Amino acid sequence: MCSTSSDYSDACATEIVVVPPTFLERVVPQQEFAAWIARARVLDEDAWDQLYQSAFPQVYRYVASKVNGVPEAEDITEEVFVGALQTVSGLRATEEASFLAWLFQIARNKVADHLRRQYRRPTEPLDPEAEIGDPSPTPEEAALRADDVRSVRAALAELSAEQREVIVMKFALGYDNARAAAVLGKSSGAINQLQHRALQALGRVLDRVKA
Amino acid sequence: MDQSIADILETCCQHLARGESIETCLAAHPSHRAELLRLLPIAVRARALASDPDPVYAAGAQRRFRRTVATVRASQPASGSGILGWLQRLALPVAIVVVLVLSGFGLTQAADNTLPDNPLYTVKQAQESVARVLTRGPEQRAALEMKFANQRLQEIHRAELLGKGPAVLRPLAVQMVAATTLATQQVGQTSGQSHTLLVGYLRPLLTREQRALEAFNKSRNKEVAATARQLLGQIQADERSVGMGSLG
Repeated sequence: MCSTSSDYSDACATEIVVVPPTFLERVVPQQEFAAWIARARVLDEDAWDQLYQSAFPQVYRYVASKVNGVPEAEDITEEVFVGALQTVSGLRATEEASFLAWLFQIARNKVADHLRRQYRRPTEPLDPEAEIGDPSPTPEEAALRADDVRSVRAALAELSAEQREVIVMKFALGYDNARAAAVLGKSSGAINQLQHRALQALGRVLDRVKA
Repeated sequence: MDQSIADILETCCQHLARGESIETCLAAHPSHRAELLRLLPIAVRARALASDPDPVYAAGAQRRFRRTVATVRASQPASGSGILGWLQRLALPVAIVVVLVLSGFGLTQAADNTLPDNPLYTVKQAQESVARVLTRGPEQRAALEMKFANQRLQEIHRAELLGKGPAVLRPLAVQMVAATTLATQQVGQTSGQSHTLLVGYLRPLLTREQRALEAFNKSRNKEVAATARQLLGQIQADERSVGMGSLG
């Protein structure tokens, strides 16, 4: 278990979760995507089906990286798509990256609403095994992992919005630099720099919390 | 120097994602060992944020979303053409301007406490029409219709206290039940926590409305009693929708 940011061991190296870049699993031609969006604006069911299948795992990962608890992530992900349906008439995107950026913006708002509600009515998950990002085999390991994921998630909240987004894109969604750059509207070089600063900042926060 | 370590860090992160060890990266970049030794374990921890949806949930969510798209699509008014379509498109901006202008003179506020026998009641109705047009999504529409139904219920109680007759009570009761029925239909299109929450609000509203209508049903005024009996049937149908599970 990598309990601190400076805790380096072989055990830490074996904890790596290999995240496939989901968007590369199914490359959609640009023109086709633009046509889906145009049809989605007039509530074409097939177009929404395509867009949903293309974006759903990414939106779920995005939301799950920001909230504690699987049920919360599931509910918010569904709310994001209902929100998208309600506001699609105003969508200006014509390509997948800007479509995803739009969905992530809706997701950020939904997560913020959720966190505000949670702040007013704090709750603890009943079952530590229900924690997101928790494939460990034993209950003890599950609890330890859940604690660690929770602490990383809490530390993320203290980063700047840009730093937080780059960590989520690169590590929770598994985007490469080009993809993260397209969604965040930056250059690949800027993503490299941002990732470096974000990991430094995340390490500082985790160390401070640990201390 | 910063550019260099940022690029090296990115390369190492890519290698880690492919399953290589931290030690391999450190050995490949000995001059940046200290910085990499600090940052790569954080990158490993950040990867633990990645989580894929449960396939069973994902399939259910997709089915629910398909239903939502179909429902929203079906509820869209057919786009009008010719003069009628043009007038329909004009209706919303005109209504907004009317309500904004009236609210500037304080009329909408004054209309808040009116009953149907007051000329200002039409201002309140115009406000509600604008709110209906501007509200999107089943959750918001259900909440809005429940709010209107509750307002009609309050108006019925006020009308009774003031001894108003069927000319006031009957339209209020009809509007109350119409709003409740619309709310019930919208709640039926929701899912998850918002659905549970909305059903939680809808049930006591239905009970209160039923009590009010049952009181009317015992009224000596035949007109009011007949209307109440008819509306009670609708409220009971709405209640069954909630109780039978299509909503709940």
